[in-house]
Amino acid sequence: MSAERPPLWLWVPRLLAAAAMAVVAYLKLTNNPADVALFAELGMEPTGRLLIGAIEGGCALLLLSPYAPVGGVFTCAVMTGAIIAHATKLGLIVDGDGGKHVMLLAAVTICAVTVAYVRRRELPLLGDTL
Amino acid sequence: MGGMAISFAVDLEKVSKAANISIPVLTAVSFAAGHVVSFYFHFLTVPLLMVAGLNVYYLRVQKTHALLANFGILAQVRYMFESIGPEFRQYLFLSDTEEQPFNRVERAEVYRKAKNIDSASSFGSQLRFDGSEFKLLHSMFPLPKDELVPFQLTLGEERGIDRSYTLTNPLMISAMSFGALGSHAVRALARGAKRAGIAMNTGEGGYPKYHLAEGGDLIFQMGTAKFGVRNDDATLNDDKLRQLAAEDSIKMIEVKFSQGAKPGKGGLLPKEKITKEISELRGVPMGKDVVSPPYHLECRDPASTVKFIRRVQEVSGLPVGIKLCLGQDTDLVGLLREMNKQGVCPDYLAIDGAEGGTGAAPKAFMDDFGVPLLEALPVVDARLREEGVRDKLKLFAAGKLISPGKQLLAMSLGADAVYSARGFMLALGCIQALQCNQNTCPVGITTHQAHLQKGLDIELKAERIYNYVHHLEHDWQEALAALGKRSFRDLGPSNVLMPGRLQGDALLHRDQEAARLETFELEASRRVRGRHDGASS
Repeated sequence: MSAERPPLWLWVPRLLAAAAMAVVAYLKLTNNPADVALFAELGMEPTGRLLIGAIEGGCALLLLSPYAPVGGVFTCAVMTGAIIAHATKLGLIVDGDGGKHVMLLAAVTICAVTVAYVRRRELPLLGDTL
Repeated sequence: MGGMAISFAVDLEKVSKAANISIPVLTAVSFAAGHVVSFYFHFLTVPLLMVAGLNVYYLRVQKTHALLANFGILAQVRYMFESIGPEFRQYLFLSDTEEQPFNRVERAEVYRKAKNIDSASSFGSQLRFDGSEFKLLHSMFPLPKDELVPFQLTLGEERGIDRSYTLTNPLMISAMSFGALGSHAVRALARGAKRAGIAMNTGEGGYPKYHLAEGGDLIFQMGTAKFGVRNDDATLNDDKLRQLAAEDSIKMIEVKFSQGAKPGKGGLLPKEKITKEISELRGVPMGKDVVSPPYHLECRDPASTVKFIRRVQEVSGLPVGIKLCLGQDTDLVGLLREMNKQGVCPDYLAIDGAEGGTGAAPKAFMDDFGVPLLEALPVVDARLREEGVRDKLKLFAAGKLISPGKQLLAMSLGADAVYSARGFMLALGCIQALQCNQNTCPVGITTHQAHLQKGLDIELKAERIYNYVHHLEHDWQEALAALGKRSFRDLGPSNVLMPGRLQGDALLHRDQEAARLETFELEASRRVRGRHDGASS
């Protein structure tokens, strides 16, 4: 239970991150061709795609729940994995998008970090030391 | 960590150093494997990366935790174990008679009574008899139970007021406000109290909406902030008091001067527990701790205090009591003399022992201030007699009186009736989680969170309150008969064994006590006189 009420503006990054995670989860779980192609390139098709899609769906729900900071941490983890994928295998420009995909990743990561950081004291086990 | 290293012959410092090196190495290995072998390895890389980042923060950035700064993330294990320590101690490791404020034996007795379970025990008492405890002294010739006289105590009759009030049970539910408790708990207590025929104190929580909802007999407590009957500056608003006193259920008014758990300090309601409703009922803003002033603004010396008591009596038309924790008893003597001087006396005096409970209080006040109840009662009783007001002023006692034995001890040492708050909380299902000030009470008593209050079924718990009172009544009757007393009024210090003394010595001790009181009395009157002289010059 947080002693302080989180600031109202925190709903902005929280909702943005939750919406982004819900959309990417939906696309992955419904076999969106672009995602199928990306995960095939990573050698994780279809298991990895469905697994990560499910985790992203969980993140979206957590971000909207009272456990939003936990959702923020998990979203950061998923985004870190995605950034590693782009940095090591997929490249920064996907299908000639001029890097938009990667910029979206970065934006969601910033939103998730903001939620997790502002409400870090609520994180179970670690909260008191952060 | 160093001490543990010696006793377990494991050098935890080296272990933590190894961990601090291993984490980034493992991260790099996993990253390489993810790149070369399979991308699935990054399911390991990402958590390791986050742990590595956290470890760098602990070791290089944060300064608040020395242990984490010196040993890194492995030291977190200590904090994790510490955080579950209270539960482990309560569930597994503390013996049945070790916990405070109430040990498992004491709590279990209340639970059994509340759940209507036979409380007979076998083999022997689990308490250690080391001569440091008060004991009741039975008679060689117990009375038959049909010779017992029912309890009755009328307040306000000496003043001849229309709305005097008669207690028919010596036990009352002590002051717990809506605010300190959630609405379910208040309603269950109020319903149970009505069913059991006992009075209930509202606590200093403003307009007692939920207490009133069940229609039982209530004692309205007016704290120093005067929630519910105040002007904006925390002074008394006569109209609001008059209006409240006109409610049928309000039977008495209690002016609280101090509380055993925090004598000399005003009430404290943490901001976590201030909902919109509470802020409205009390007339205070949300988002800030509400700290009541340590004194009534109208009461700055004995004269103004007695004047204020008369004002409350006149405005309310009800019996009016005062509640305090005994501190310097020269103050009490001064107050009693002023009462005699002005010819005004409250209808009762409630003594709260220093061991009394609270929803929230500073630790120093809880631990180190005020006179414990069983020591305060004989002194207060003696003062009232010396000043000739004992007949006008009934004496109530409060402070860990959850068992029939302790309640009878208090009544033997001077109390006419007793209060209990935590006894009733235990009957409601309190598990002594010690989170009353955090709004996270796991059994839904001292919380306003709907999902935690959900488990507190008002009707079921009201029945437990009734059962608790019913079983206490049964035990009192058995005990009175064993003590050879027809009524509570016949109880006295002669049926109490004082700590560490046999009865003969106890009598001697009482003679010494009388001599000590006499000396003290002279000193007190000198001090009071000195103060008055000082004030008049």
